[in-house]
Amino acid sequence: MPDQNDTAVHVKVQDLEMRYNNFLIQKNLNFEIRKGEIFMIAGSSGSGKSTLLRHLIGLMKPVNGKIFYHDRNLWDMLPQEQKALQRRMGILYQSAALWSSLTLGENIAILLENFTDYDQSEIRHIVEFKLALVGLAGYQDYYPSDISGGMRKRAGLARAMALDPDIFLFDEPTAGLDPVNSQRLDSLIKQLRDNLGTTVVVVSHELDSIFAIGDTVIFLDSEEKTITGMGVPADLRDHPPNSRVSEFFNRENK
Amino acid sequence: MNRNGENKPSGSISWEQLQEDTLSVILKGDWKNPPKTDILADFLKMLKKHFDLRSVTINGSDITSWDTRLVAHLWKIQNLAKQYEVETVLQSFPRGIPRLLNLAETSRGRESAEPESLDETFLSKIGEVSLDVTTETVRMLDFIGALFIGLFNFLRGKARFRVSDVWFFLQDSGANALPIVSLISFLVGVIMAFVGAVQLTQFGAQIYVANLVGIAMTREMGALMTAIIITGRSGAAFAAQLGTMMVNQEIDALKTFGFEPMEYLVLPRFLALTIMLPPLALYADFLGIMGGALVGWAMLDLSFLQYFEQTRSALNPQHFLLGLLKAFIYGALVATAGCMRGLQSGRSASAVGKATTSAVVTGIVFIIVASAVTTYIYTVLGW
Ligand SMILES: Nc1ncnc2c1ncn2[C@@H]1O[C@H](COP(=O)(O)OP(=O)(O)OP(=O)(O)O)[C@@H](O)[C@H]1O
Ligand SMILES: [Mg+2]
Repeated sequence: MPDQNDTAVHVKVQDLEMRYNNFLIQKNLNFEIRKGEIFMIAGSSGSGKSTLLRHLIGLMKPVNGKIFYHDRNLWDMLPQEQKALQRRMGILYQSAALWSSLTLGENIAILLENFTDYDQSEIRHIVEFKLALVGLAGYQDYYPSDISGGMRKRAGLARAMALDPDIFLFDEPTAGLDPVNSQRLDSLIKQLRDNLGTTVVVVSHELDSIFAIGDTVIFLDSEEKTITGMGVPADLRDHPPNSRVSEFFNRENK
Repeated sequence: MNRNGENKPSGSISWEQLQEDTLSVILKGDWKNPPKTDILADFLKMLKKHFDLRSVTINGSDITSWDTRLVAHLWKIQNLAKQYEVETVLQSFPRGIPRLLNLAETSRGRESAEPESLDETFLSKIGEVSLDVTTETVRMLDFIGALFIGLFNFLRGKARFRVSDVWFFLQDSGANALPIVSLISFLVGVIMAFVGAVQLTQFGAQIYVANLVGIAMTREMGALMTAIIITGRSGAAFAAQLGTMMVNQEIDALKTFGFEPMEYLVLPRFLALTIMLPPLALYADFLGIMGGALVGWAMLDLSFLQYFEQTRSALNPQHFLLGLLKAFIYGALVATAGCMRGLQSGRSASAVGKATTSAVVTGIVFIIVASAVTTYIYTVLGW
């Protein structure tokens, strides 16, 4: 459960400033992600959610500010430490980023083959099981180009789960999914956290997901270029700190 | 006959200054058929003439019909007024118009992340070019350094890549390239024999066409032509493949899951081309010699037997080996150019196109420079 150990901070972001070339995307970002919580990143399109995720992963170096994993600054680590940390992340990219020359099964199996000592039949079973978890049982021999966008997203999720990571980072896992599958995926994410204690960071603008599974949500404001709302989703909805947060969280109940 | 719209009453616009600081604008009539004046320019003139202007009232009660062109005009007027800190008030317009304007209001554009520099002076261009050259060199050295680390890991048996990929690229860049390599090298042999034949018959030395073609093919042209073909086929394909993977974030995914793109993606392609180019070049050598033999037979009355006998006496294994060494070097360079441009590609479809073009250009430049350097070294060493 998320609040059994309130003090354990998994990720800490301090005064983060993000830019492309010289163009400011977001600044003064300060937040903590506790171990085992489901942390949602919300905000309008283009506000910098995916960019923030790239910074959390370590694919982009901050212009200013620091990112700590268990009190270690991501950019003070040796390159091999950084790589080891990344390997313990389960990442779903916004475009799914499945390796297009491999089948769905191979996309997952290649990780198990390279980074575990499981034998082939065991790997096959794990692959089939992980695909079944996301509702893609029997699709292991399909290529990413032969399935729909929503299915690719789910296969990407299965790949992110392959190595039982310490932290999940999902970029819009339910975007482009029908309500039924979207709900199934939300409950899967919650189950993963509840049963494995994995920390989960989810970029999402689906209100249903945010309210259903989010323990904490931050709202990236594209006008202010910083976080203008942070807290428990329902609290933010009921007591929005400003009009844009209110607009975002109350758009359904007009 | 009336041409369409010529005599129809068009919409009209009139400007009236009511007081020092207010302007009244009245729109009337059929605005599907707007007046031919430049409304925005007129408005700008007004704004510039009347410094004291604080508010503009636009009245649309007598508009009979309209389309989004009118809304666009009004939107531009509003924006312009805002720049001059003038307030605009819309009065009695058809209901749809203010609504559309409100929609546009909220979706105003933002500055782009990569502002284009507008002042392109000659000096700034020179500065830019020299910066480009520097960063380009750094990026190239970066890539080559990483490639060497990858090769080193491969020799230690520690590189992570799929052996099946090597097989795939061997077949794709080797066997599948045979038809085009056959055609081109045969024709190159024919062309060289033609040129040689015209010159050498003047001295009655037509039999030496065989020497010319044989030595040129084995030492230079076989490897060179093959390398250029492979640049166009495989070098371009490599850049496109890796560029597309860049766009799809597949390369980010490789990195974060613990694979080195240099080992997983570049190594199989690099190995395939360095392994494949020497045999392809050897094959090209023989086809070029066949082309020469055809010309010898058809133009110079040399029998095939005579021609091949002469070729055999002109060539020794060293010629072949020198050519194969070149082919090996070209293979490494073509793979390097293709993969480097692919991994340096931007994250858009057009960037992949650019990467592909750039891979071919870079590959050919690499090949020609390497050809000159190796030929010079061979000459100095007396090979
Ligand atoms: N490679 C890039 N180069 C320059 N600017 C970029 C680049 N990628 C994104 N941006 C800019 O950064 C801003 C944030 O982009 P980002 O992808 O993080 O948005 P987002 O919040 O994930 O949006 P969405 O919900 O649509 O996925 C955008 O305004 C975009 O214009
Ligand atoms: Mg995004």
